[in-house]
Amino acid sequence: MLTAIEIGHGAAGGFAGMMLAALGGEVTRVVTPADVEHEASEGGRGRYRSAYFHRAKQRLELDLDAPGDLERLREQLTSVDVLIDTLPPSGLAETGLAVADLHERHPGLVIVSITPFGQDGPRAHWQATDLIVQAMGGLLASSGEDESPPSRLAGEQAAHVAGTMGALQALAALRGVREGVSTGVHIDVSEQEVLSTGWSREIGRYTHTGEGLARAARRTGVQGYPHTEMASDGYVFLFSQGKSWEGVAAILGLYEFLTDEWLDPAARVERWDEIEPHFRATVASRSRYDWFAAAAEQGFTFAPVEDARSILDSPQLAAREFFEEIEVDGKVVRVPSLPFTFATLDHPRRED
Amino acid sequence: MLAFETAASLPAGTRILADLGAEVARVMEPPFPVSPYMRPFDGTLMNKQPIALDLKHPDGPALAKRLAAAADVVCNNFRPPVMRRFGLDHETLRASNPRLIVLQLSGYGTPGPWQDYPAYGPSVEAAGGMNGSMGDESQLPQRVGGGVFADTVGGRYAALAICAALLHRDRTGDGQYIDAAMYEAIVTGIGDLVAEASATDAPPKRYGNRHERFAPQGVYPALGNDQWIAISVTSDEQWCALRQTIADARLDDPAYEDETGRRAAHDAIDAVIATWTSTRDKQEAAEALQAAGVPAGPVQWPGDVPFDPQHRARGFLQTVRHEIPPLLGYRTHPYMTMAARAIGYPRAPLSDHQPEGSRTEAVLRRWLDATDEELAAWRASGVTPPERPIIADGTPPPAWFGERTAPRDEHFAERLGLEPASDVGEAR
Repeated sequence: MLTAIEIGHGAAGGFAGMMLAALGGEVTRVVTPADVEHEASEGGRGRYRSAYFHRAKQRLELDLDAPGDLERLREQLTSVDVLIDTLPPSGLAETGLAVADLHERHPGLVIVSITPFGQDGPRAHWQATDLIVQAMGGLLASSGEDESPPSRLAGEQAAHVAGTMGALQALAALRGVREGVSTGVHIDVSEQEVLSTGWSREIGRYTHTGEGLARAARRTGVQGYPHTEMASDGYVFLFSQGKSWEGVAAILGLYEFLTDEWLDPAARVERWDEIEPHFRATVASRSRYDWFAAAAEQGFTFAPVEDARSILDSPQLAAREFFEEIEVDGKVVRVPSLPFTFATLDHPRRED
Repeated sequence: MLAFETAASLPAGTRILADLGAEVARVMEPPFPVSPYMRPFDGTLMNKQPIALDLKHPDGPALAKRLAAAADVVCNNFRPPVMRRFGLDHETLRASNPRLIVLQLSGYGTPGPWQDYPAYGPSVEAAGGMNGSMGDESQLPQRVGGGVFADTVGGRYAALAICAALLHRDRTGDGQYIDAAMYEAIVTGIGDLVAEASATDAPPKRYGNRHERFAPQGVYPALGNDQWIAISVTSDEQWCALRQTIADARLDDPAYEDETGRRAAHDAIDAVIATWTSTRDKQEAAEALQAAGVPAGPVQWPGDVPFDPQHRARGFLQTVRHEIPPLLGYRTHPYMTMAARAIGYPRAPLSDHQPEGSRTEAVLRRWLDATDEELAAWRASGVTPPERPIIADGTPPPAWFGERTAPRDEHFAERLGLEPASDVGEAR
């Protein structure tokens, strides 16, 4: 399908390369002494991240400070379709891989550089971790609940969304090259910008109305009842977009709170102490999957609240053969595949 | 591309493809009118060709099939049974056009035991393991803000899958049926945590805003109501820089010189940092720390984004002039461009929103070589409903997903430099 080289140890590149490899690409990851040091410093969770990201890639160990190795990489870059780069801005040139030189040798090369803030601008060289980009890209401010500071999204979501965008851009640009409508390009992906598009609705609300946003109220939500509550076997998410309290209360069997006095959300918030024992007891009486199914039957979007372990037991994901098995430290470990299937190919989740 | 789309997920994905140059003919979900939250505030409707095609009309499915036969890609994010009910399932569409790429984007994916369950972004964020992995061990599962994170993640993956299918078709001549699920997109994004959970048979430890290896890391209060700054110290050198910037003797403890010592005293260190940050503007504090080499950033609210100096310098938001009608009383608004650019080229331009159905005849002419007589007949029969104005009145978009709105910025229009419309009375 395509050949790609990945350089730099940014997680966004790890994601992007993983996606191209899962789509059938031959992806080679350049591993420098600095990358080896970085891997060694990553600790326990980093080991799993590395195994997940790089499970279908080839590894090419090079010391780019050594002229022979640098030239070897330059040579390799004359015959691949895509270069994924997560070095700091201008890092390619500083490494001896100036974009103009690369394109002179290989005019069709698609270069995708993914950095926290993009290749230029006053903050291009700001130091960042995923938390910093989540803060500046958005989402962080309104994530969590009103009684606590904003809550970071789990995993490395700035890298995840930017990696997806990088892979997408690589494929789109490669198609242009193969169709002969364009030559190689250098694409600049900013994690901050991609993350900002993840709350486009709220940015649009501000730019059109001046309205801001606050984190959800922990105790009673915005509709006068909590959105997350403990079922018999774990938490269940009880919010249903656009639906009324009457519908929620009917699903939960809280018929005594369906009278007029309880229909106003403000009244429920004010008198939540009266409802809470009944609410908690009834939610705790059934499993989270029971509530999920019962609500779905009525067109409500309740959901089981899963964690990274319980998700492995999802009947939906099992039926869809979503997880792949890889080996980490001699142990078989399940990891997610890409979140789509190609139905006409032999492998349900991979292009050949 | 023929896109039958609603809500926020697929529209976000097809917007990227439209920015990349695809001609996206966008069809509203039946029945009319379209869901009220599909309003032109988030920009996902831009750069597309809105056509009006009533699938519930007896001739609707046949006309849709003719358009599909002329398309490279047909995609939808209606609930999975909808397209089949209209005879527009992928088997039928691809039977007459084997090169066609068909994509279905849904909450949980199809087939599967949950295939018909309704879903919105926040529900699949919960089901996909995000909420339960957020926060620290002392907290309840947390929620992602913004309401459309899973939608935009799912839409982006849909666009990625379409690009991959196009490359496959270029090589083999074969079309494709793609089934994409927002639910799975959330799980893919926490794959490292899933791998750890699978290896240990237990949920990974939740660090909240802290980090497994970086200490200190956190979100600290800044000057102002609900204002915050994020700080990560990833090395001993950065710790020295932080200590020098804050200049508080309580941070001079030699035990803090390595990460282990700092982690052991994380609460005490956090308290000192918070004392420093809480009297400072989040932007100025972040700039001071960054100048010293410490990863730090202001926690931005939606109202901060248009004024972000990095976005401004890079031209990430562009002002679009509304021709007809003005939107909420203003002739101009800024919108986000595609979050990627080819260096040396201008950013993909943004077209204004187009009224629903305003491109119906243009698309039918171009794709089907439709004649004046055919267009008139379709109009008369009602299969191509008339153009509908953009919802542009003074009703702000509601807070749909259980979030609360913060106090309104009364001066947003002046701050943004919006051009008031003199003919607000004609806003609808």
